[in-house]
Amino acid sequence: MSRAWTDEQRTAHSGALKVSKQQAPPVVQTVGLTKIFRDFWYRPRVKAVDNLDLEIRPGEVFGLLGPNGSGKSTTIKILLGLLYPTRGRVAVFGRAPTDVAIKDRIGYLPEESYLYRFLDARETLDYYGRLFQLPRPDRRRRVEELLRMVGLEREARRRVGEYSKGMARRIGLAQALINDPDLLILDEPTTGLDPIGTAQIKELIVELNRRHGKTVLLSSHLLADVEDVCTRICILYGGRQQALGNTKELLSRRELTQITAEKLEPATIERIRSVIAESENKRVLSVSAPSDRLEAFFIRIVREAEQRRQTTSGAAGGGGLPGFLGARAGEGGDVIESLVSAARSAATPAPEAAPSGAPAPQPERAVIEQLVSRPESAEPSSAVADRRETPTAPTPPPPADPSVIEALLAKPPDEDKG
Amino acid sequence: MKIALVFIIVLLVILPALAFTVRGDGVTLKSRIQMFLSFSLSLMQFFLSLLTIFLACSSLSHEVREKFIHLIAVKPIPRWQFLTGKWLGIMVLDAALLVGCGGMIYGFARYLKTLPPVNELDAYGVEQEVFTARAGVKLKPPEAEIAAGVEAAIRQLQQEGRLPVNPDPELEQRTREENRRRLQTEYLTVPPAGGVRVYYFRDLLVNRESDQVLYIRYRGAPGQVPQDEIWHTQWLVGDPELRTRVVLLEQKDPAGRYSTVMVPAACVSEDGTLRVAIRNLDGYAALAFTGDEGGMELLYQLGGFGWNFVRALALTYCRLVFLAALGLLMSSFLSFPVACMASLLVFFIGIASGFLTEAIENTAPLGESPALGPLNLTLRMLATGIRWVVPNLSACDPVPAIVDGRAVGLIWLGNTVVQLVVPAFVLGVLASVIFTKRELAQVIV
Repeated sequence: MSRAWTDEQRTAHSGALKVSKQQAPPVVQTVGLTKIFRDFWYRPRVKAVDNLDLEIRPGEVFGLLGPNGSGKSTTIKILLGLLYPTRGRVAVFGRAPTDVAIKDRIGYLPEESYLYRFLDARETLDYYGRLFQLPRPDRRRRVEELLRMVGLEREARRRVGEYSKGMARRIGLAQALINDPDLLILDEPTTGLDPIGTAQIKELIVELNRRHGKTVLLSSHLLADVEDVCTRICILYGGRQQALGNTKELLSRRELTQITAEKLEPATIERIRSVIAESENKRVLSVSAPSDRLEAFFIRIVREAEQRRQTTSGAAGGGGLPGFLGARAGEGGDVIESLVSAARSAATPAPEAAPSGAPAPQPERAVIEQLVSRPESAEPSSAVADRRETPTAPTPPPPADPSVIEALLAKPPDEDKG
Repeated sequence: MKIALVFIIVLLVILPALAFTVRGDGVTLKSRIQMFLSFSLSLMQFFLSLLTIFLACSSLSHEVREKFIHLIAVKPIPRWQFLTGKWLGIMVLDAALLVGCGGMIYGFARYLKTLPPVNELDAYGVEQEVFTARAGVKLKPPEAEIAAGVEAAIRQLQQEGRLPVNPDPELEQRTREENRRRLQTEYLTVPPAGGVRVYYFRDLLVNRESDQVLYIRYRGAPGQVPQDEIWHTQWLVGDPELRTRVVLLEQKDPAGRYSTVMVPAACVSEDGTLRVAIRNLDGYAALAFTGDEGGMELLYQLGGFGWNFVRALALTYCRLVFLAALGLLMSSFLSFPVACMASLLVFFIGIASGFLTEAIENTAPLGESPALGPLNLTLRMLATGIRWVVPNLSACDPVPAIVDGRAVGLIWLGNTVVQLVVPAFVLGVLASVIFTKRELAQVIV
């Protein structure tokens, strides 16, 4: 019979996890995984997963991508022991998915709400906490913290059956975290959520991964979700693996170069066009002013409404990560925290941070020159600046001709004033 | 849970209604109380059985159908524990309902007892034949004597040349069976015109020093009936040779009904044997205590009504234990409607098991009708197989015993535990194995 972890066990576990993350065996491994669904007469009808080889390493956010019916949920259900493979091998934490001993370390958010409709939010979380045999005081503390995290503290007395889909999803996420899992499996986590909920979940995934070293397996067909948070992705189609690799590597388009500058006059743009044409005999494909994303605009509006304390029977904005989730991070938490804060400050784009009308900052000419002249030295900076980057797999900077950029940087003195 | 609520409400409405509407034979208080006990206990037993099956089948299949199980099965809970939890939940609810409904029936029966009886005999019947716990000993032919009689008959037939010395086994078997039946019938029949037959009830647990009363309950088989439809008999109860108390009674009992002769416990001998000699005073009709509608039985008090009632409820609970395990087993691999139908089928076969046994015994023996041979063989094998697999629920039905004020003994209770609770455990283990092996997110395309 499994028991809740003691603090000593947690500390020992998290310490061991950090030290051996690179050498540690994969959290999830499938070899030649195949799942065939049969009809009533046991005739094979649908090959949902076909010869899938996957390896999810400790501490990474792994995305399973694919259109509807591509085998994402089937793969997840096999990993959870809800389905059995027709062929191939599966190991989660080095054991069979049906092994009850590993369930203590897994949190699962299914693609729909499978919660008891007659329980309220607090009872729901308490019930799932009991299944992990968490001690009562610990359970109560976690329930309250999770309710705060998902913004349902004020609605905790309502039955889950009365919740909107998004609210039920939030409670589903909270129950997936009640045991402070090492592996978090999220099946279409943002389905039915409003943009704020979506942003929170993405933020949460990043936080859990960065601050607490949680391994996250995320399945979605919403590409923006995956792109924003996943370190590695696997694209499935027809049950087969179509692409597998580092997200940034897969998404980078090496045949194009993108330059983002402050607002330029049409004459300047023309000069740039001519420089590019003269130097490399290439065309500028598009020049446009980027607009704010609707998601960011929406979040800002709702946040303002919350600050005005406008009443709502729906979910509130939610709080930060519950304290207990950090319990397994152990004594290395400060180091990770400092790294995260450094990454945050470095990742914040300068134009967004500056209020409109304020003096524009000087172009970081030295930095760009350094990047151009010594491409191999870009690695540490890039690793810190981009939250999607993993330390184990640094992405090489996109190739660029230094002379072109130098020519662009040699701006006339009058433009610096504007 | 809505099903449970409907059943509970129906029981809560019907049980009190029965107490005030049932009239029995319209005359005696005894028959009114007996009919109330019979209807209410049967109804409670039937409703709780159905409720248990519905709950067991629906609770598990509902979890699977609505996919609630997806969030349970990924938690560190072995599936057998989940099933055990389901079973325990149903059993706790059953226990509560059984105590509630049983208490209500007991209370109403006690209330009915306070109503005025028709006469002293009625009052005596209520006290001594309903609100009591009596042991019953049925009159059975002495097997040793019958077997000796059969051998003697065979020898005589062979001496007379009506049966070969070395007959073929089938003929010999048939001849033996015929003679056995003949001798049994003869033993249980009192010849007419002053014919006498002596019967013995043995191994009685009676304190012969007490003022306890013994009841001899009997009814003649309907084959032969006196012209005036009244049996005229003389009874000599007790053994003068063993110096027990001897009672001589003259009875005039209506044919076709059970009649009771009451004798003191002092008539029983020291070795616990009661001798009953009956003289048939009818000139033409033989009084036969045979068949389903005839027979003789000795009843004597063993304990009180209260504890007997509790043991009867325990017997019912054993049935519910079995049905809950059965429903969970069925729903561990079947959907709700199919699991429900399968469980109900087993339930009704179990209830009709006594009838099924009798039907098998009464089917034509193999070889008697060659045209029906294969069909007969198949049906026999099927029926015998079902009888082996499905426990006899009718044998665990305490209602007739409670209505007649008979004791629900601990041996009976023990046998029921062996017959129902042990198989329930086996069913539970089987359900756990199946449920553990089952793909909970399976899709049949």
